[in-house]
Amino acid sequence: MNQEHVLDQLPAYALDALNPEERQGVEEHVRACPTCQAELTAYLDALAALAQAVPAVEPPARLRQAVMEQVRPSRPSWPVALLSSARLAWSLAAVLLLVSLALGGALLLQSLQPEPATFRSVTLLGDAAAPDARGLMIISPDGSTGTLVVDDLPPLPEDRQYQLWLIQPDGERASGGVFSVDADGYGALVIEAPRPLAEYPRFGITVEPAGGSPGPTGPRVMAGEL
Amino acid sequence: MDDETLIRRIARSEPEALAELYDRYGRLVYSLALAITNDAGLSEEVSQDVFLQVWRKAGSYRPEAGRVLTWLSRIARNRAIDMLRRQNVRPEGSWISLDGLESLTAERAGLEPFVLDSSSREQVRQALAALPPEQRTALALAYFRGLSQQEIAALLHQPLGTIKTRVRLALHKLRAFLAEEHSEDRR
Repeated sequence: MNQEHVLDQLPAYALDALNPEERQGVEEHVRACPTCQAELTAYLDALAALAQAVPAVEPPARLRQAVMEQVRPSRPSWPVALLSSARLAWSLAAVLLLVSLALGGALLLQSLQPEPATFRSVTLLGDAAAPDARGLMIISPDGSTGTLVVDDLPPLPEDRQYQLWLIQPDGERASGGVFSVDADGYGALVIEAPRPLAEYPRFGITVEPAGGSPGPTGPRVMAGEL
Repeated sequence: MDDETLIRRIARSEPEALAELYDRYGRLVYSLALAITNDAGLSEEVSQDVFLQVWRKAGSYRPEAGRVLTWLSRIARNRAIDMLRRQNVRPEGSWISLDGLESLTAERAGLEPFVLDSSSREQVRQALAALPPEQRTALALAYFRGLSQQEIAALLHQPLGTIKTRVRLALHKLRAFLAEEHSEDRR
C-alpha cells in the first residue's frame, strides 16, 4: 500500500472526480490514515457549504407526505424506483406475477392475477443473446400505462442499458424507457409510452448506450407480442 | 434536539425523527437536486430516495466522518447525479457555470434560507465569486454535473494535469475561505 499521504488527490476524491484506479488508491490510504481522514472531512464540509448555497426552492407539500409514506411501519420498504406512490399497486402486481412465473405454473399465475382480471399481460422471452431471460409486462385496463419486470437478463457494463421498444403495426418503434438490471439480472421499468400501450402489438428489448437511443441500434435480447 | 440525536432516533426506526429531519433539510435536499437536474419531477424522486436511504442507513452514520449535513448533502448530490446519468438529462442553467450568483441571490431574496443564514450563504457565494473563472467551472462541472477530471479535461480540451490543478485549487480555496470566515465569526 502506498504509505505517502494523498493530500493532493483529496479534493478530487471528495468530488468523486477520480478515475477508478486513483479512487481505489486514495480509499486504501485514507482508511488507514487519520491525517488524510481529517483533511477529507474538511473538504467534504466545504462541499456541504456549496450544497447549501444553491438557490432555495420550496418543494411541493406532497413531497413530505410521500417521504413519510415510504417509512410507514405497516408497509415493507420497497425500492423507491418501484414505489412512486400511485405506481405501487402496479409494481406489486408485476412482482407477484413474476414470482408466479418463476414458480412455473400457469395455474398459479391465474390464481395470483389481480382482480378484476382486466389487466393485460405480455410475456417476453429471451433471444439467443439471453436465452434464460424472462419478462412480463402488465398493461393497465385502459391500456394507458404499464410496468415491465425482467429476470435473468445479463448485467451490462456501466455505459450500456437495456431499452424497451414499443413497435407499432407499421413497424415504427417508440422508446418505452431504459433500465438496468441488478447482479441477479432483475430489473423493472414503469413504461413511458407516447401513445396508449394497447396500440402496440409487439415489444422488443435491445442493448443501447446508457440513457437510450432514439431508435434501436444494439442487439435485440428479448421480444414479445400482445 | 441536535442532528446527531435525530439520526440515532431514525436508526431506531422512529418515523417522527425522520419527519423532523425532513423539516430541517427537505428544502435543502430538494433545492440541491433541482440545481443539479433542473427538473422538478426528478428532484422529487431524488428527495424521496434520499430520505429513504437515510431511513435505512442511519445506523451506518459515523459522526467522526462528518456532520449530518455533510453526510446528507453528499447522499443527495450523489443520488441526483445518478439520476442525471440514468435519465441522460442535459440540464441547462447557470448553476453549471456558477455564473450569475448575484442575480440568483436577488431573485430568490424573498425565500428564507434553509440552513445557512443569509450571511453565511453570502460568504459561500463570495468565496465562489473570488475563484478564477476556470477553477469555478472545473469545480462546478465536477460537483453539479458529476464529471470526472478526465471528462472535464476532454470537455474543455485541456490537459488532464491542468484540470487536476484547477479542481484542487478551487476546492482548497473554498475550504480555506470558509475556515477563515468561521474563525472571524468566533472572534
